Amino acid sequence: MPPLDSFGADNPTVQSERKPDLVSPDWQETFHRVLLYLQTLNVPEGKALEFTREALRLASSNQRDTAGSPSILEAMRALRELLTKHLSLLRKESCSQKDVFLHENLNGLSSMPPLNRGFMVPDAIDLIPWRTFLVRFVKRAVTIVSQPLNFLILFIFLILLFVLLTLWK
Amino acid sequence: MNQLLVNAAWKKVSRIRRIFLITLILITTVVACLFMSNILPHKGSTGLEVAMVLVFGALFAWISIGFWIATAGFVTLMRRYDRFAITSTFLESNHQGELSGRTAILIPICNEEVERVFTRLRITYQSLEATGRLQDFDFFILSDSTNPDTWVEEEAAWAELCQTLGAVNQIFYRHRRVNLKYKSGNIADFCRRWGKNYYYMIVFDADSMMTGHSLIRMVQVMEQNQTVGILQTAPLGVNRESAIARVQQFANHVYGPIFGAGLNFIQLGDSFFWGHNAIIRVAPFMKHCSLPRLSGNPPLGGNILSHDFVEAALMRRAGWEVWLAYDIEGSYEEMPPTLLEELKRDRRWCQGNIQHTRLLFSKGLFPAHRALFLHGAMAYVSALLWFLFLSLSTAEAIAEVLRVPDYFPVMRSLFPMWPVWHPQWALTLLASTGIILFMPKFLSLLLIIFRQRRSREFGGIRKLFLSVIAEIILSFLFAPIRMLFHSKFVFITLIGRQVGWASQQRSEHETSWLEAIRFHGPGMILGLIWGIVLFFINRSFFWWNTPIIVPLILSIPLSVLSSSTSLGKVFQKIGLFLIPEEINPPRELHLLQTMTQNQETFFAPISISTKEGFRRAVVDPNINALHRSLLGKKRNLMPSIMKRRQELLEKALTQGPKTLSPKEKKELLLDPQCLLQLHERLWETLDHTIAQKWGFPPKRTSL
Repeated sequence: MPPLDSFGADNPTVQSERKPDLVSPDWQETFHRVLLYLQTLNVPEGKALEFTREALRLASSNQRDTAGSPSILEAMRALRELLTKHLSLLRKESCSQKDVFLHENLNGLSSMPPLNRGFMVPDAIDLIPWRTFLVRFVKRAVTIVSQPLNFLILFIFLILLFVLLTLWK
Repeated sequence: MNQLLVNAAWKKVSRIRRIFLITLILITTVVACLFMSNILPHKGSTGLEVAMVLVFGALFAWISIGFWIATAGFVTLMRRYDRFAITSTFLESNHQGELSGRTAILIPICNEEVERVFTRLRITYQSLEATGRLQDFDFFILSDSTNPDTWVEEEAAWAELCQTLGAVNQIFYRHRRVNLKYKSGNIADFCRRWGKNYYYMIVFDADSMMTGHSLIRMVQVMEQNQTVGILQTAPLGVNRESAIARVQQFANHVYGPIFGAGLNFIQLGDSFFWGHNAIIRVAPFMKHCSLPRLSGNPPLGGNILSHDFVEAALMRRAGWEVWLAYDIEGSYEEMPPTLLEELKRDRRWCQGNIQHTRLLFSKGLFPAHRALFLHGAMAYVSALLWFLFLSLSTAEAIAEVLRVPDYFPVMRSLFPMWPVWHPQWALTLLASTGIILFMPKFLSLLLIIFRQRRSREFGGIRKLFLSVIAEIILSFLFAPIRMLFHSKFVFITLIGRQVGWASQQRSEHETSWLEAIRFHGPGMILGLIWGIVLFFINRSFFWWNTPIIVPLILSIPLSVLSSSTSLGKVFQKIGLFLIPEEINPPRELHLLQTMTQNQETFFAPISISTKEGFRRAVVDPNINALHRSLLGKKRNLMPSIMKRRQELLEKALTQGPKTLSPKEKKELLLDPQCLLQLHERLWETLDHTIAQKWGFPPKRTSL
């Protein structure tokens, strides 16, 4: 991996290439946008400036055929290429405790453990228990009453109940 | 072997205790009903009076359950020995022993306040770390959040927490795209994916917090009781500042212990599961506790809302025990900050508990759990019964005034029958009802002052006594308001209207006058009309009902004032409703207080609030990459969906984030390609107006 110093920030050729546009508002705007992006990644100021200069240099060389300062579009694309290339360096240099995530690479941070599939199937449960309860109750009552002796007892009980209620009135 | 013997013993003992409890409840209820029928003008002989006595009987039986349970708890705690307390099997010598397996701590959340949730998680993690047993635990944040901003905020908070604590591969985060079956579905989803990796799981609520020692203790108790499927702790309410919540957390601290001990006395291994601050044995839970979908439509059909009671019943049905570890300390939760928040929560619980009546006769359930289903439903149905009782008694009072007295109701009678009213009997009944209602509070007071000698933890005997008196007055004032709302909830559920599963607002906030008028206005009007009618038709009955009518009329100011944090602070300053955690806060709660300042932080150098998750996911390269990474594999989409998302992307780029609805934001967040494109094109844009809409600083003209 090339060191950041070799990006060409101090290279006189690169500086001479940029010199005419240094004060133009477009160049400044591009510079600020690229720098802002690096600041959001918590890159230390010195390194951020180096990255910015290198991104602008790359962008300039990419659009050598067109006159004027590099566009934001070109500069941002160049910056992203650079960042991908130097991600591990960025992580090392990041000025906060937060890691730098780019391109879905979470640096070993995993949101979920590997799957270990199991089953959870509902046990049989009566979904209409009231009706089942009533049916069960009626069936049991019919079974009991269908036996002659039980039927006789019930019959006598009902007669007695009727007599009692009549007398009560 | 000893454990098996204990198990055999508790089953026999529980049967005897429950029969004893039922007998006591029946005796007190029958006596109270006889009194009631005697004080009525026609001695309970008319249809209206019979209905009144029946409703009164049901209500009296309901309140006497609480009384007898509290009495049982009082006796247990006075003895300072509970043979069947599940924690009595805990041996301190085994504290450092090897565990059977790992434990997962589950934190299911749904559109909660991210900062508070993650602060609690951080403290629990650090507390566990301090015990030296952290390696036996993993944390899972199981998110069902539907708010796009909250979703991204959670992801960012998770990544930050993992990095700052060095908890990579120990704190996990999962977001469900479809929140099927709400919380129970979320837990089941965890079990299906990773349940086999864990022996136990400890379920938290969004407002739960437990100390490391309490977590370890729960695991140890489970280790020593291999027949226990669920172990529930009794969480204590803490951390609140609003007046009503302070009253609730004080009541929870003072009266909670005797009710906890009493419930354990009666239920033993057939206890509750309250859905949080509990440990569950994963394998039997996965095998037996999956919830079916009830036939028919909501509210009584469909997904089971109050899943915890049903899961406990299913666990018990499969032969595993469910215990309440009422004496494990270090288990905390937070009370709803306002009366309205409490009522919103109650509406959901009401529907869930009434739904349980569908399972009342399900085959195989233990009678104790059928009773718990009924008990849960009665918690709300009792309000409707009270309302019915008041309506019937008002009808009777009005009828007595308007009806021409019949002095010769029996044919061929020589003497008239004068309607006789016995005020002393009415007063006796009133006094006995008061004893049933307030005796548990008095017993708690006795226990704290004379047996536990902990009154200093509540600010001293005088302040404790005054706080209990103030709590009784306030609960007296709030009871009719709660009754009216609960009656409405039961009625709404029974006529088939359902409620959603909106998340609670758990942070401190005050009820506005407008909100209070909207919610309590109808109740206040009802109270006014009722009061005026009674005042002019039957004034003596009006005076008897003033404790109910006056709070209803004052419900709006009561609701607003009780939500006030400044009033809560005044209470705290004068020493009312103090709890031990305020006088001598445990380290964990102290940390929570200092860390949860709830200050909205901004993401530098771009001025986007951390709460604006969607904008951060688009603008911040870190969050953008993190979110895309957490979305998982790239999916093949239908051309129509791709086209729609492309249109949304263009809309976002040309009109800014404010023009997007939450649904549109969520759709963009679900597509990693779209999100990357949006991020790149936004940073490459030359249009400063759009860039500023997304939070970029204004254009700078010089270096």
